[in-house]
Amino acid sequence: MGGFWDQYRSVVEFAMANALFALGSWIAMWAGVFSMAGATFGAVGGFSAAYLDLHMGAGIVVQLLVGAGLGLGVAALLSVLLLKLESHWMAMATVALVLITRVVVLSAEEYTGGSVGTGVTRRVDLVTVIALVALVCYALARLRRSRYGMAAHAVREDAAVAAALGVNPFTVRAVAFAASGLVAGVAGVVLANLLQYIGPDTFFITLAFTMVAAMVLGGTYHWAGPIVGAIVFVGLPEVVRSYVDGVDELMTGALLVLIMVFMPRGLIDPRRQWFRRRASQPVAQEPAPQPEVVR
Amino acid sequence: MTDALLTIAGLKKRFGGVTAVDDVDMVVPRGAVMGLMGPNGAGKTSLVNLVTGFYRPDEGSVLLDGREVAGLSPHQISRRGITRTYQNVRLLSGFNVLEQVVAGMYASRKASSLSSLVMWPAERRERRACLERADELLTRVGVTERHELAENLPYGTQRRVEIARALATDPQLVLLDEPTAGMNREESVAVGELICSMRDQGCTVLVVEHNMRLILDYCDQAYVMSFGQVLSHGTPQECVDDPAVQKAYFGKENDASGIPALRELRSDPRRP
Repeated sequence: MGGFWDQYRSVVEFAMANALFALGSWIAMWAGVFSMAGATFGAVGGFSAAYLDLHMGAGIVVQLLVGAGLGLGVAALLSVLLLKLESHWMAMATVALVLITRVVVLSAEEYTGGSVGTGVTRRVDLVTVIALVALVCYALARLRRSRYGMAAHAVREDAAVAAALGVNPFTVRAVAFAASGLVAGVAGVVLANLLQYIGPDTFFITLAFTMVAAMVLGGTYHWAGPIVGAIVFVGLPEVVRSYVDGVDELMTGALLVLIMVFMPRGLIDPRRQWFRRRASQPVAQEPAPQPEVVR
Repeated sequence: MTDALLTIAGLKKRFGGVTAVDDVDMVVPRGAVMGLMGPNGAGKTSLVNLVTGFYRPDEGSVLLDGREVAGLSPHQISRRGITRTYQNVRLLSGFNVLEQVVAGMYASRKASSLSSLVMWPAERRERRACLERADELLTRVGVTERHELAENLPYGTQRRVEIARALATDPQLVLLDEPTAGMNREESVAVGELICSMRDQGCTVLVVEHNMRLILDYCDQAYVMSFGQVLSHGTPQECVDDPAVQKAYFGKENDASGIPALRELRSDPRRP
């Protein structure tokens, strides 16, 4: 076990950091917003953490709080602008946002180190990262069938129907987008600490693609999806690499295609029967009277 | 029956060159079951979409209880007390039967997200109360299923779940868009009885239907629309007996000159 742990500790750490990013994307997706903007909010969190670390020697708690706050703030501001767009235009706009982020990082040299990037003192350990993932999961599990959670799901499935039930789709989407910014901001702080160096390419298309792919692969209909997706997406190439070299990216791509073809709703699908049986148990109630069937 | 819940005046909606709803006046008295009939393309569903805010009217006013609702967004109109069902059932995929109905209680639920995060007792009580109320509403509309995914249920049951969801919003006025479409006679009668029980519980109902039997048997009054205009209004029997209505439905050649839209139609070679 010790050997395994030494070998895979960093894999687990990065899987968890990616799980945070994927959870961020999932929160937007919860209300039907397909967003890659997590990379942008990650950059906000990551570079703020680097700045706090370098100039003030701030600890991880301060970094996380500032990263979460800035991610939330930037996402809330952008939501006013972006959420006027229809679904796929919205997705394209978030891609554009990721492209712009890189330019901003390059030009704001004073704060980000420009093209050289900036170093970060590592202040997180695995326990902290797992605790953060667990915290987000707890919140999402609690909110799943809350007033807001049901409204978000309704807006995703049919915004017009949701509106006819008294839900304001714009507000619900804006809240989801802002919350996704918060989680992605935290994820950015974590990633910066794990990498100990961040530059203009850290929070770019690759990261944006990874978080969305992990979410789609794991399943977009349950919060556990993005975590499973991130573990598979980060873990599988590492495992493959230890046996065969040079085919890991090929494997990941093939896996993604296979899952999309055969499991279009992802690995974790709350509609699947075994999942439902367990999910419906806690609601202890009299069994519904069976209609008598006479044949 | 003079107390009007819904008053529509001069309502107009154009789509390009087509006037889907053309200067419609309509009064739905409080506590009535009002029928709305008309051939395909008469503008019935467009009218429902205008009243519920899905479409923005070009002209005219819609008063609910004396207050203007035309121009408001769907969610604002829903909170004022108008709700609807859909011609093609639109349940929310992924929710079980109980959750479909609880989803309709959004506006009346008070507990914040924060309180659900910390499992505040009031929030848990509210959740339980919602489930209990959903259970009651489902019993009332005659649905026995509870934890099944709604999308796996038979069509007729899905319609009932949709009606329960509409009732969960505590509406003053429910617009039912073809509630018996695709149902057999027996199921239609059951929906008719359900509509009457809704009225008895204090709801005002506007039923859009093709099924004349349902309108005749269960509606207090009816409007007939054709080509976006109100063709006839009165008791259901009066409407059915109205020669103008028979023209619109069966197209008696000699009398068709009475309807301007039909005159135009006759000169259009593409239509039979």
